[in-house]
Amino acid sequence: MQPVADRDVELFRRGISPTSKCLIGLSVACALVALDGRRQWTETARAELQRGLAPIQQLVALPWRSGEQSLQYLTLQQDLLRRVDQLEAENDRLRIEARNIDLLQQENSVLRQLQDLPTEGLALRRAVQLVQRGRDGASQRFLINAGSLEGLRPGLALVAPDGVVGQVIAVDAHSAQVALLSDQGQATPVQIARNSLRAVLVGEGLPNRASLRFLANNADVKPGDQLLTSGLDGVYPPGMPVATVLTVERDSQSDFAIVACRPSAATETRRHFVVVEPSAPAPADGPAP
Amino acid sequence: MNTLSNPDRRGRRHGGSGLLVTLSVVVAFFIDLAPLPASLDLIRPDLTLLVLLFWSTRTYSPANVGTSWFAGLFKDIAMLTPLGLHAGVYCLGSWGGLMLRRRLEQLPLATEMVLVFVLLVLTFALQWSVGHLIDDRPLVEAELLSPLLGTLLWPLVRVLLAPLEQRLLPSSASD
Repeated sequence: MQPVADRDVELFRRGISPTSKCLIGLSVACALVALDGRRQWTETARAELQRGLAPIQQLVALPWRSGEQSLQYLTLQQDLLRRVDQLEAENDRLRIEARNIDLLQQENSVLRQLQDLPTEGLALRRAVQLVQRGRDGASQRFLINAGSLEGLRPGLALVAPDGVVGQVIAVDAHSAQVALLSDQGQATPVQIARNSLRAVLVGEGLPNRASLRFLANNADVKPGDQLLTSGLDGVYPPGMPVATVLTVERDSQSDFAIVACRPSAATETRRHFVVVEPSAPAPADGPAP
Repeated sequence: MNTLSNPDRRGRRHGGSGLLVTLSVVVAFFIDLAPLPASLDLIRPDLTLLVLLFWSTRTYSPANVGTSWFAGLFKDIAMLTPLGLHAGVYCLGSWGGLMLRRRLEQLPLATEMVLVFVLLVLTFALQWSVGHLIDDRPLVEAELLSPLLGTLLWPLVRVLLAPLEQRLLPSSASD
C-alpha cells in the first residue's frame, strides 16, 4: 500500500488515465471513420499524408522488388533462351496482327464516317507500376506510382495486356488510387462476346470475384462466356476483355440469375499496367463522296 | 517497488530508449507494408499491433495509447483503409495491453500467449465489424488465421524486443 501523499502526487503526475485516453482515441477514431470519404477535408488530409508516405512505401517495397529481380537473374539460362524464342515468335505474330489491325482500323474508320458515326479509339496515357496493395478485405484497391503531375485524373481506366484492371478513383501529385473490378460495388458495363448481350459487372469485394447483376433468369449466358467492355460508360474503351463467366445459377424463385465471374487481368502477379482513356470521338465529316 | 520513487517509470528519462521503442514500431510498420502475394496478405499477422501490444504490456515502456493511435492512423493512410479504423483498433488493443501490464509479465509464456490471442481476436473482430458496417466487407475464412499466426509470433517478438526492454529498465530495477 502506498502512502497517501505518494498516491496523491502520483495521481497528478500521471495526468489523463489510459482508459480516458482510450475513450478519447476511440471517439476521434469513430468520428474519422464516419467522416472519411464524406468530407472534403478528410480527403485532403489523407492525400497530404499519403504524399508524405508514398516515397517511404516505394522505399520499403524496393528490397522486395530487388529480391524478386535477383531471383529472376538466377533463373536457368535455358529457360531464358526458351522464353526469348517464345517472345520472338510472339512478337512476329503480333507484328503481323498489328498490320492487320491497322488495315481494319482504317477500314472501320472509313465505314463509320460513311455511316456518320463517331470514331472510337484508345489513347494510351502512360505505363504505371504498382506501389502498394490495399489490405482492407472489401477494398480491392491499390496505389500506383503516377499522379496528377503525370497527367492522371479520376475516371481514367487501367488496363493490362490480358484485360481491364480497374479505374483511377483518386489522384495525388505522384500517386493515384485504383479501384479494381473486384472492388466492392465497382460497376462496369459489359457485353457477352458470344451474343453481345449487355450487362453490368459488379465487384464482390474479394480477390478476383465479381458478378453480373440484373441479368434475367432466362438470359443467354453460360460458364466460359467471355465478357468485353461495352464502352457505354465512357470510362473503358469498348471491346476489351473484362472477365470470364465461372458459374450461372438460375433460381426459379428469383427474377435474376446469379452469375459469378473472374476478372481476366491477373492483378495478383502483374506489377505494370497502362493507363488509358477512350479517345474523344473524331468529328464526323459526313459521308465520303 | 514504489513507482513514485522511480522517476523513470514511464521512460521519460530514457530519451534514447524511447526513440528505440518508436523505431521498433516503425520497423514493424514497414514490414507490414512490404508487398506479399494477395493469398498470403490475407493471413499476414499485424506485426505493428504485436509490437504495440508488447510495449503496452511492459512496465517501463514509454509507449501508450496515444502512440498506438497515431501508429494506427498512419496504417490507415498507408493501407488505404478508412481513416480511424486501425487507429481505433490499435488504441483499444493497446489499452487492453495496459490493463494487463505487470500481470502479464508474471505469467508463464503459454498463459501470456492465450491472453495475447484473445486480444488479437478481439481487435480482429472489431476491425472486421467496423469494415463490415462501412462497406459490407465480406469475411474471408483465411483471415481468421491472422490472430493465430500473430499469437505464434509472440514469443519471437518477445525475444527480439527483450534487449530493448532491458535498456528501458532503470538502473535500480535492472540491478
